[in-house]
Amino acid sequence: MARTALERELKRGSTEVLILALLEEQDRHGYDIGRLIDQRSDGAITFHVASLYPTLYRLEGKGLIEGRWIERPGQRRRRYYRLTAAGRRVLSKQRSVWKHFVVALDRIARIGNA
Amino acid sequence: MDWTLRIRDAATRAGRALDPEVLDELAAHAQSAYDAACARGATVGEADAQVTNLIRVWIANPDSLNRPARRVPAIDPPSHGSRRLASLAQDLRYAMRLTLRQRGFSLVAIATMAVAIGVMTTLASVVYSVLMRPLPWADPDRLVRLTETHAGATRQMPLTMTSLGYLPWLDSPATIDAIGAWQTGSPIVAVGDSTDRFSTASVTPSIFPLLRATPLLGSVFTRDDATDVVISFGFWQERFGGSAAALDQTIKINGQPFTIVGVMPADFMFPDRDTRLWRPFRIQPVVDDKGRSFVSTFSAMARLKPGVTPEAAAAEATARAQNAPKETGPVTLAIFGGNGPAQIFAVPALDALTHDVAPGLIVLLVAVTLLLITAVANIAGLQLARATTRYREMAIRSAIGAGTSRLAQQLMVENLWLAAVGGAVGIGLSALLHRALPSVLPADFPRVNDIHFGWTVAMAAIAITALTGLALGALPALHLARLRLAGALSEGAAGAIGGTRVRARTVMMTAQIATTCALLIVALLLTRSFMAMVGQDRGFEPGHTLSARLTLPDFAFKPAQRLDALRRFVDLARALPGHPTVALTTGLPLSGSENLSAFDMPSVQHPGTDVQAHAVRSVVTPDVFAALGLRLAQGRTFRPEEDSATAAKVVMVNQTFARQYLTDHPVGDRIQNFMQGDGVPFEVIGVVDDMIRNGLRDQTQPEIYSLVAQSTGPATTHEVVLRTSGDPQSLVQPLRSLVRQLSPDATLGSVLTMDERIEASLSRNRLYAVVLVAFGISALAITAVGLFGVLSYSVAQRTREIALRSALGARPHQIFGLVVAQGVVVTVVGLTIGAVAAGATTKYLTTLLYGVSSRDALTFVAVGLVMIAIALVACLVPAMRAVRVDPLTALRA
Repeated sequence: MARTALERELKRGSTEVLILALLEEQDRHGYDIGRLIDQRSDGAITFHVASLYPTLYRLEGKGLIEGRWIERPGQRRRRYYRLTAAGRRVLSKQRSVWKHFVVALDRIARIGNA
Repeated sequence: MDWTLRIRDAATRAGRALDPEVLDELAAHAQSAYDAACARGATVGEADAQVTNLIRVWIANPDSLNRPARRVPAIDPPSHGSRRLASLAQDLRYAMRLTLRQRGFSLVAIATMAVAIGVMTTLASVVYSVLMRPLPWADPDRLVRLTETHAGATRQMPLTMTSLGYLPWLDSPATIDAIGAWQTGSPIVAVGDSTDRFSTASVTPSIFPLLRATPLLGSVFTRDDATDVVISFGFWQERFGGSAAALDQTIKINGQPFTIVGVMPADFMFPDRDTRLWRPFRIQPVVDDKGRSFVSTFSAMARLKPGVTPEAAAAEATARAQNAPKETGPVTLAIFGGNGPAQIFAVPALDALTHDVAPGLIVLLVAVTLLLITAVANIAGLQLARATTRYREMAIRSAIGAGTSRLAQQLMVENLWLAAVGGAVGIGLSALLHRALPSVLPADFPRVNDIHFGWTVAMAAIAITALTGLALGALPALHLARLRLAGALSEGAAGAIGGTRVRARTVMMTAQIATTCALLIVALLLTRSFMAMVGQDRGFEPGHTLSARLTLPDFAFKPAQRLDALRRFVDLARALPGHPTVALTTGLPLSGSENLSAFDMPSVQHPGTDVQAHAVRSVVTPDVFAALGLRLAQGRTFRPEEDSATAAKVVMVNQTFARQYLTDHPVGDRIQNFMQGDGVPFEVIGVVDDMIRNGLRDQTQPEIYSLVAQSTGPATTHEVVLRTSGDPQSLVQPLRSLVRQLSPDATLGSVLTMDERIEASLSRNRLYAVVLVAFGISALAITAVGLFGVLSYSVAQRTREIALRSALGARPHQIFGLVVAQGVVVTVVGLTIGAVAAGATTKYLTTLLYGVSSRDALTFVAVGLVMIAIALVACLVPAMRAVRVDPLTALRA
């Protein structure tokens, strides 16, 4: 139980930074974002499909990302998200917070060596 | 597969509705997931099941799928700064459109503002340039002008020193670094073959180091007995084409040769801008080695030692001047009309120069400031009234998202725009006024050359404009804060907010009336003073009289020849068209020439004793009393046949002389010594009324008139007086050709009618009066329009109330009275405040007033009546409008 709770909290805290980081590379649509998180963590971090869109909408509400519809011939229109200037600032801040956190964890709990 | 339909069905089944865009987005996701599953090798059924599962998860909590209500703008929103700029630009465009749409209002507002800002800027520039700008010499704060007077003096000579006060101070003074003196004149200057009169100054050599002035070329003179002359830049350019060869050339001043040793730079103007030459001035010792006393009068300036006050310097000079030699007593008496101990005053040079004009200028500046305030108040009032029609506009703007600050910004921009246009026109006007100033200002106005239209003036105008615009915008903008905009949108609600607006305008109106009242009182006081000065009986008749200065120079005329030439001149002049009465005198009023004399004469009041007498002594031809229109009080005037050169010596005196020195029956009294101290007795044959020679406030001096024919030698210069029955101007040309005919060496100067002389002496007073009357009338017009506006607006506001009153039985005259009373109350309150303010301040005007008290009741009452009359006229139309309100129509509306 304890493990699941920790996992949930970590996930919730990290989801935003993950999405922002993915959007930093290029504009992406929701499916793409979910797929990439799954792929890059080798399945270690799987997103509950239910939380992807609420998170995207929350980030959009905060003005960190911005969605717009893009149509391509012969395809459905898709909503692509891109990082705003505010999102970029938040991302770099969160990155440094996470870095410090990981370094601190490593120092105390030897997570790095584990 | 239509995923959109499937997801919507699922949501509907769960009793939820999804945002269409969210629906679209999830459908796209579902399609991708389905395609991916198929690509991984899943069967169609497996893939479908996976996606169905996905949809179920989504729909389980559709609330979290609500997209935030944040609109995505079609274009990138501008950054905060540029958004503000954009809104300013928008407001400015709107203001410009408004100006064009409301042409009448804009024109009135801009014109009023332009005139007010233009005149205010110009006056501020004059006040700064004349009263405040430092004098153009090094350390000007330490320069003081000196004035000498003596205990018991009956004649004050501001800014004049004598050798009695000057010479004792030269010997190692403690309080001053340097002292210098000068006299001005307009001698005949000959350069090569051309001769002309020029303004020159005889200056002590100390003047140049005192002012720290250095020549552009050559050097200045260092000895007071040298025959060196320094020329001005202008003279150098005109006469020598700016050639260095001018140095060492010889020019003749009144026939005497001088060598040019230096050229001063263009900006050296001393003592005034007209001076073209400077030659050495030697101040003779008060008593020479033969025991003769000689006192000269001149202007003097000193440079204070650092940290020394003018008072300390004056005290030192006064102390040093106490031991004047006894021999100088009569001369002091002649000059000052009193010969008690000397007293020296020192005042900062700038104050001395501008002392006469400072009160007038300050009054004008205050007046124009009041005028500007009145004008701004009026425009602000008009703006407030206009706001009626704009409440709906403001309310709509507010309803579609404009905040109060945004609306205030818009009003501010509109008014700043109006002010800016008004200011721009005003600056142009000020530039024109600056150009006109030298011809508008009286000839003796100090520092006219220092008044320029430059950057400082333009900046001042911009500052005044900005202040005006802010003041103008602040009022409606402040008002906006109190606005209940929602109410304005509902029909007929204007009355709810009208009350405060009328009150604000009434307060402003009262202030305007008070200001106008004060302005008019000052204007009327100054006008009445000016009229009193013009109408003042001066003891002579200035009408129909031409005067001029005739000079027969020493180098061309020996005394006998001169006497002969004068006689011929009078004969020829009598034959001029209209056969004028012709006379010569050495002491014409308002000409600046008078001979002052003092002498010991055997007393006629107390026989056996001597009396020290002083008098203005004029040497005249017999017709002078008729020509000047002097009134004979007792005895007879001169008769050419009886009072010839060989006949018994006779004089005439004025009443002051008779009262001071003669018996109760002065005709027949004899006076001695007044001419050369030669003891020859002169019999008094008549007494004339006193006349005012120069300033109206000057004390009348004793006067003696003797005949040219009976004097020992005629003077070089005489004033010519011609009285004609026609226009004296018509004699100017004949007189000039007559003098040319008389002798090529004779010169005629200062050809002026006596009326012109009086006018010139009062030109400052006239300027102040004319300008103030113009201000006063402008203020009155502005105020009348304002009052009309307030009352019209108030009647419009009260239409329903008035209708109700008349429906309830009020008679037309009562309705009429209602409106008029409102106007009259505002006027009377304003008048009272204005009159009290004027009463408290006009006492500062006393130096400008003549023949009228600063609290002249007639003036105050007249202004009050005029303003009430104007106010009634302004009330008339609104009151008639109120009477014509039809209760049925008004109440049904």
